[in-house]
Amino acid sequence: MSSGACWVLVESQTGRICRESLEALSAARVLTQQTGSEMVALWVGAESPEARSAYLASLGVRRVRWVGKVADGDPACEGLLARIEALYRCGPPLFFLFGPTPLSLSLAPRLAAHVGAGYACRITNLRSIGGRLVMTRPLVQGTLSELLRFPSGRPGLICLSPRSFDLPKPFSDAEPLPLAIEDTAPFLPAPPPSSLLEILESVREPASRVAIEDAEIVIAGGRGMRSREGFALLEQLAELLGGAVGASRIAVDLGWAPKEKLIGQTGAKVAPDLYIACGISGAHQHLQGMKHSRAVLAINTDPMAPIFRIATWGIVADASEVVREILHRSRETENHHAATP
Amino acid sequence: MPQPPSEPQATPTILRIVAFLRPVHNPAFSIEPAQVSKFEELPGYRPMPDPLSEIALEGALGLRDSSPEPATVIACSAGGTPCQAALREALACGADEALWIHCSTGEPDAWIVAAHLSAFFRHSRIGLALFGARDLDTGAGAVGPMFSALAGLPFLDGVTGLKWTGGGRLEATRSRGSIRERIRLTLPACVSIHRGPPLRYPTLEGKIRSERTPLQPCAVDPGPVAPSLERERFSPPKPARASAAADYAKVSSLDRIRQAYGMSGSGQKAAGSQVLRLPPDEASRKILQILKEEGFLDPGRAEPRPRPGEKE
Repeated sequence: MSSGACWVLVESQTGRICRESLEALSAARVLTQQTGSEMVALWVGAESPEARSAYLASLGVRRVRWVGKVADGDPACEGLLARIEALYRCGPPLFFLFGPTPLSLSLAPRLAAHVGAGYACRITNLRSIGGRLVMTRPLVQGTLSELLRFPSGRPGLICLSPRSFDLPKPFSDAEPLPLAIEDTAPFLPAPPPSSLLEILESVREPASRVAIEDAEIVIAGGRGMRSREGFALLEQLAELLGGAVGASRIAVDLGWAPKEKLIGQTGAKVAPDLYIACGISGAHQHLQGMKHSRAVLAINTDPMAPIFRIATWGIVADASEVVREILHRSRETENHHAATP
Repeated sequence: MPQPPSEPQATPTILRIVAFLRPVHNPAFSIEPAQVSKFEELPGYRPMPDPLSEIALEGALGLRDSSPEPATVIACSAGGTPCQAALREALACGADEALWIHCSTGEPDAWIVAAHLSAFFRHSRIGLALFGARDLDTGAGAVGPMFSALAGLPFLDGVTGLKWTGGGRLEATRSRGSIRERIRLTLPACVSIHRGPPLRYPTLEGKIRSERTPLQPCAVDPGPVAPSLERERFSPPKPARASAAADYAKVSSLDRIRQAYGMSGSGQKAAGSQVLRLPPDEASRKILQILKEEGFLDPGRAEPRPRPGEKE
């Protein structure tokens, strides 16, 4: 029997909610408003959700169930999966929403297989029609969409597509309702991690060493960065945004960037959430390597540059000067925050 | 005269590495909504193997070649007739066997495929099962984790490299954002490949063998398995981002026509985009504003800063 709730897996890192989980909360809010169900957050993180309770309540969350964190030495997250499965079996929700994080993409299908629930992945839109949830998913490499629904009476697990939903804005009208927080960890002992998988080493790499194919934000530079020194500013911008640096063919040929950073027809193919093209005109060969980016921010002095044809935002300006100014401003803001008690 | 029964000989254990291949739509052929479920019937149509499945197959072939013990690579695909093309390519590239599992319940979804695979391999020992991290058509990669759950195998995702370490164990390299891990795997296991070297070229010998090998679908009874999803209908693609629809509405019809016909003038920019001519200081301010509004600034801190009075 369904408990009439809409669950959302909320992942937190160092006490902050990750963006994908916020998008899932945003989708869940639409869904709960349409179906009249209650929004419940399943909090995954080392820190207690207490500190974020007011914010979660302002988004419409009515209950938070803290399921603990991914245990060290458990690369398959089996302990966390067992806990969530135990909660699910106690009272399954109507819907269970996941943001498209690596953890969710690994957990959700396994949970669906264990509990026999429906599973829909890469969903870009949700709405309730006649009391039934209808989901939209791109198909055939995005040339078509299909409308899906779960079989009647079957609860469903839904994993969203990246950046398909805006970040939620807190309700501004009334005082948020009090939030119930439940620590489930003491009641749901996790099984010991599988001895078949053993972590030998875990290293956090600096942003500049993240492979450009894996980066969510790619900052690419071309001839418009004017010099090797100008191009080096992109490394600092990448550090600021947590992205990786790429380069156009001409920047590689001029020796400003190594060949591994080349993006284009003969280089890496990237599809980040944000692609910042600094001083890149947008030759056809370059566009072949980045045309699947979700959002493109282009900075170029030539207003007729082809890159502006595919840009989400275009700025006609000197890229090296703009990047220098961005770094200057961000340093000023950091210093201001540091000086403010 | 009847021969005395011979002593049972110890058969050498052969490691079975299974690479799962998924055929996807070939973008060289345009497709209409009404043709989706039967596009393999289009004249001259040839689907292509999923690129990430190919990377998984190359991983399997590389492991077989470097294995200290005898190993065999089984290319496996589940579904209808498009599976044949993917399996024939796998044979041509060096797979030892091809296994085509027929799914009888119409167009399969991940749950149906996983149920068929686990039913087939229930009585057949697998050393290592390799999947592509996601497929090109839908971006989903649910079969691998579902199969591992049904088959009771440990599942490791996001793998970018695999190598033998001795004692029948593997060392996997995994990248999750900026975190890189080295993980030791004891077989049997199920692995989803995120990145790796591209599939090797087919050999002439492999091509001949591939064409001569008959491919017959194996019927499997997975038990009572109902589809986990119902398809209502197809529709033309929608803007991926919800807010993009609002932006699209702001563009005039004239600009859309100009854009459709590749005309210059005010149609130089994509629908919904903004091209602004700004001095550097204003441009930097505008860019920082965009990055903040879209949640790109302050990585790991996508959540808005606490409001006044809210506990940090």
